[in-house]
Amino acid sequence: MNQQSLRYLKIGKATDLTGNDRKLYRAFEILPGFLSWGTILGTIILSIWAPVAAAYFIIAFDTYWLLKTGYLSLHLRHNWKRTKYNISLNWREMLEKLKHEHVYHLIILPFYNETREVVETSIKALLEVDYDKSKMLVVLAGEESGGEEACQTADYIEKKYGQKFNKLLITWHPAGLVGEMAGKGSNIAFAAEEARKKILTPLNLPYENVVVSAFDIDTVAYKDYFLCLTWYFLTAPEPHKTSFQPVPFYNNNIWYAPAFSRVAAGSSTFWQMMQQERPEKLATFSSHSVSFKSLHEIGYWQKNMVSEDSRIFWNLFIAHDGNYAVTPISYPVSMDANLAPTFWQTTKNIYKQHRRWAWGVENIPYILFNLVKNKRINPWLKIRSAFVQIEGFWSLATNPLLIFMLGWLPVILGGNHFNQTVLSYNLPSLTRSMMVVAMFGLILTAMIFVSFLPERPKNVKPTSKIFMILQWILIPFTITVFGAIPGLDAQTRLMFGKYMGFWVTPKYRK
Amino acid sequence: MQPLSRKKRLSYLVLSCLLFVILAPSAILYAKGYRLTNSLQITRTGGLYVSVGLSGAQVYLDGVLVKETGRFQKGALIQNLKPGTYTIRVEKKELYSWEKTLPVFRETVTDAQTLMLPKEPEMIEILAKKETPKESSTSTKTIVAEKNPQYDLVVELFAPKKTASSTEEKIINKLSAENKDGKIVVTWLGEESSRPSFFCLGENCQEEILISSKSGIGSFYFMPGRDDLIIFQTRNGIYVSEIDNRSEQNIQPVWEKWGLELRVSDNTIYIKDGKKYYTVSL
Repeated sequence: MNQQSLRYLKIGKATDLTGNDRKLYRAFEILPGFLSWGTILGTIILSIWAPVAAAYFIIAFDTYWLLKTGYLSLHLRHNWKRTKYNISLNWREMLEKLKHEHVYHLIILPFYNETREVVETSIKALLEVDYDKSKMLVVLAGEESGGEEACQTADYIEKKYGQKFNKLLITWHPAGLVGEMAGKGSNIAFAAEEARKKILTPLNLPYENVVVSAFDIDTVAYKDYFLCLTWYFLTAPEPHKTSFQPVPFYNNNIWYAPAFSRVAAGSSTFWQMMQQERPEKLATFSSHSVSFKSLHEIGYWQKNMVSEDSRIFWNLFIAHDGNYAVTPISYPVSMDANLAPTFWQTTKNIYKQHRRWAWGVENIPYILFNLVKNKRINPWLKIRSAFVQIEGFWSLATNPLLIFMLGWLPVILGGNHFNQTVLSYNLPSLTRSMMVVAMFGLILTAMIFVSFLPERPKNVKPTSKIFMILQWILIPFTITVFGAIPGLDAQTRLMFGKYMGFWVTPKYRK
Repeated sequence: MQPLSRKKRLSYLVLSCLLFVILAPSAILYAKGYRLTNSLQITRTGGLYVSVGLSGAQVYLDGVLVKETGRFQKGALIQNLKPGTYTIRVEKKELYSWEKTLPVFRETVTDAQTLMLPKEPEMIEILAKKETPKESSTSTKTIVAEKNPQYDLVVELFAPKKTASSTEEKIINKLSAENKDGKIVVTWLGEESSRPSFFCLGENCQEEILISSKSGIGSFYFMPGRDDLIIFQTRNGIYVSEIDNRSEQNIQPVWEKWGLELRVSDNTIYIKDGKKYYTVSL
């Protein structure tokens, strides 16, 4: 690893730098919000001053969006088939053909103040997976600030499950360490180092034989997850230059979540499924796995920012001068959909969670800055990586607004002269027709969603399944309220240097 | 099972790009009014939009029924019209029909609003006293005639001192209407860019629109709720005229009778016939 490449590896924000570097990083922080607001305000201004040009732009954009929907649906459909296929495979048989006994799995479960039930469900799921438990090293990574209840939960888990794995280590991440932001990144980085000192070193385990799975506390691994992961790890051409990304299903509690929460959760899953078919555009997200060797070389996850799950990929990408990728394993892990005791609280939680995800936009200045500074990365790869990320965040914040709200602007703001053109009369109907055609794609979406539903609990009415299909009509609402608006919110904060902290999504079980 | 191959993804991408290159300009041209003729020639069309404001009205174009207005679509957009002149007629049972001959220009929609008054409008007489049922001590109802406050207001409205104000200049939504020697002159006071379409034939707009009647116009008002109609009084009765003079103006009677007087106050139309006063709903 080139030391020059590591110089800016752990930057959290512009204020971590000085001089021209700081100015450049700050400019990159402004860029995503500038582009998104520029698009929205540009459309409004164009609608007033040049409504014909605005109408051309909107029709062209609608066409682009319709085709993009179709294009991504093809990826989703393929990944649906591939994920189902991977679930049905006999991974044990496949793994038996490879030398795999040397591989250990270090599973990190960070928690804050979640209930014993939530923590125990994930631990139990680990016990139920088909994998040699003597090769499984589990770290329950608590926060010192989690309080007495967190200590009691950890004690309970240690007593009940301590002997079920090769090791079960409880770590307590100290609060208020200098240079750290309270959040998952600093906790799991601390836990990984503790595991190195207290498990890997005493057991004399080579780092290159240990695969780390950084889960959320509600992550439930499907039965063959570790067999599948091990197979991918052993068959990867360069296993220490790739991370492994499962498909995140948010369906642990899906039968109890309200419709808009289910749609928001399903949409997040589908986006990840599409990305699984476009690995060059894929970064790690939420629960992911990576070799301990790779992690240790760069000092684990960043401790001074929020989106550690995707940042770890970019850390490794930069450290390896672009020679680092994500392997999409198309095998699921499941997590909780957003659910709170009240409807309003659920709504607020979804918004906050999606804003935290959208805060992944903090990666854009990091990526651009490091791409500028790192002369060893292929220029074409630099352009592609930068474009994919910028386009992704721009689309998130602007596309739903352009499609569902701004398409009518030239008619409203264009004035009398424009309103007497055939173009003005046809613009709303054309926009509406394209939306209707695009909505046909929801049939596929509903089918995929239903096919991955867990078994219906006995206390849930059979008719609930109908709503699992009908709910998709809410998508224009959810992608605007829980996609575009939190996306714009996050980008605006970054633009003005109002940096966000880590917000822990509350886990609630009915 | 392998992920989608690069080759396959590239073919999807190329296909999508090709479709975009074909569809986006096609959609823009279609929206602008470009159409393919039977002889596969591209022609630039225009349209007509008539705002009816009523459901169940039949819209005819050059004598051919083209649309019936519905509960939610109370207007008719007729597209794909070659540039030229078209006669549009709207009919509904028990209402006067409306007809207009309008030009259609390419890439432009010529719009118009109908005037369709009921043939027998409902007249309600305003009485000096109104009858109100009252409970008596023996639990029987008796009818008591009480003074009607509306009557006094109407009498006041028609009092001679008000006569001047019924013919003076009136302005609504930047439209000015003035009675000049028994003719109403309507002018636009706003910016040129927002001049109402009934002043214009294509790019050519007129400064003023005249509304006249053989017997001379007396009192006049903008029709309550409409800024494209004028209600006026002549010696022969009360009439409503559209301001639009792009072809022959539609003028329809409210009540034809010698010596009627007209007032409009608080969006209500009042008519005086001798010593009787009426409100009319149109």
